[in-house]
Amino acid sequence: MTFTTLATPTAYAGAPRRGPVTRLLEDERWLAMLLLLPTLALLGLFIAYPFIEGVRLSVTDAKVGVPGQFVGLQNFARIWSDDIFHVAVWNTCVYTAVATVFKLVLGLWLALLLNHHFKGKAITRAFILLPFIIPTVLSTLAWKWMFDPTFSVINWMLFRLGVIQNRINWLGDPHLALISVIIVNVWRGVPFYAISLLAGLQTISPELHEAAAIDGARAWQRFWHVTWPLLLPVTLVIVLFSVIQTFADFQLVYVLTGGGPANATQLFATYAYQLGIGTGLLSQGATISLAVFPVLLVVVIVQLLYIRKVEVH
Amino acid sequence: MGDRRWLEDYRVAGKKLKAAGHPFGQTLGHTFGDAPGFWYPYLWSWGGKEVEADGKTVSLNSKETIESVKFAVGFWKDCCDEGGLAWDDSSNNRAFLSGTISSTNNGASIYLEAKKKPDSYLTEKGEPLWKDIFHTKIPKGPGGQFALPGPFTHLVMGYSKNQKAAKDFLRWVHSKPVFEQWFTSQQGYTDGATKYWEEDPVWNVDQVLLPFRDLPNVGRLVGYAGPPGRAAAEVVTKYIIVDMYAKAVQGMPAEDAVKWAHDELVKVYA
Repeated sequence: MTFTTLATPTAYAGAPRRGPVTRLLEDERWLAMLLLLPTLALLGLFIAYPFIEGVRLSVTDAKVGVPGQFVGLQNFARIWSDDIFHVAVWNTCVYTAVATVFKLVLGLWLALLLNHHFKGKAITRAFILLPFIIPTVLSTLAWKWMFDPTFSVINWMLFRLGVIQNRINWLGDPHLALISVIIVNVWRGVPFYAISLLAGLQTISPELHEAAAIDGARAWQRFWHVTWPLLLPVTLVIVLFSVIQTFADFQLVYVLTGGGPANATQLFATYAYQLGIGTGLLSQGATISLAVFPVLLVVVIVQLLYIRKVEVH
Repeated sequence: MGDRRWLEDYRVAGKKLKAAGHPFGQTLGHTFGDAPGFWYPYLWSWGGKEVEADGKTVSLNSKETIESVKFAVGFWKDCCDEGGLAWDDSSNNRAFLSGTISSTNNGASIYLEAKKKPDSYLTEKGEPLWKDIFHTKIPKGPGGQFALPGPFTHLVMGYSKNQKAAKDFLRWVHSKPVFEQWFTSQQGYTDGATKYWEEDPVWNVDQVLLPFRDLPNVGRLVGYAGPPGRAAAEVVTKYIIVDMYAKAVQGMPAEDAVKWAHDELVKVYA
């Protein structure tokens, strides 16, 4: 036996040449960098750059048409003593807290119902998502009609049913206005919770429930001791995303009330827009937007730590 | 304090109309056109003002302003559609055209819309609504009679590379033969920048639109008695004057509402 049949010099000479680029791409570290490049570019352009620009604006006195000069923390001191800003902070916290609780409870309930087998299950699940996928401005305009001071169909219905004698001032009364925007936010957000929690529920093995049932556990006990602990990590992630989105909510409140009446529904985002774009005070608008950041950072850190603790446990 | 009988008469009429199911309608919401458009002239009609002529000294917290707020609270309850706290710039148009309100502060758009569709907008007697509409200035108050016109300004950016062409274009657009065509098409919805346009034939076409001709004579701009500058614009976009009345209507004592607004203005003008 000879070795000449294995790899002759001529066979080797005829093999395709590996140029420098090919060799680079065959190195996993470089290939990974190259594949991540588009994502990094998008994140840089649409997240990092606006954030850095926002920080830069917040430490200047820039206005529309005026680049402005460095003023340090003057803008932050200004909003600290701004009554409307205090109202916006309070409103945003109440809006987020109440809406999140309702979205979680109703979303979980809906997910538990959808987790059963019934006729038309697939189409029901698809319809459930409609409030979430319809463009927010469109659905909010419809709600605005339903809450209209003169033409409200809700008032009309309640009046016809004899429930009310005088119309409900949904968007004109300060307390009702905040409740109204919370109702619309909950209506829009429940599908996100329901479908996400449903996905979580479906990862829970039915055998666990069967075993608990055999041991004599009732429905509530099965939920509390089997379902809920296993669903908790998914729930916390969903709540985390929802809190971030709700805290920074803009379009819903802007369309429904514009922040009124008399700032009763003014939020961080609507006030930042009013100052930055409406008034042209770019630096002050940026400052208010940035004021959200530390709060959300704390929320994110606390929840992520809790998620890790729950998962480890 | 000066004569308030016109405002009192307006309030008496409004009370009767509200009792008959046709209240007045005025927005107190966060809407940039109609809300300042009524409440600034209303404040001025009582002698109230944001700042002194030096453009810096905030003088909102005055006897005149407090009286205007107290009257506004009673006026709102007695005469106005209380849903107005949530109205945007189109709500009063819809409410008037549907017959749910009897009087509102607006440009000529409501009348022109009713005239355009005489079969769609009818009175309770089935007559075309446009024949039952008339216009007049905001009632005179103890401090005078005023309006807040919406000024339109043409600007050329300093960084533009076509400044000469832009200026030539603006001169052409504002030349009499060209501007006249546009002015006529407005049918009385717009006033000209000079007194010359008070003599234009467009004002002879429809007597119902004639009151708009004289509005610039009673017009003031925001920031009175100072200039309509950046601080005045900030007060408008923050709805401070509008919210002063809104807070009082919602139950805050007039003095507190005025003090709040005054303090906000001080921060803006600082």
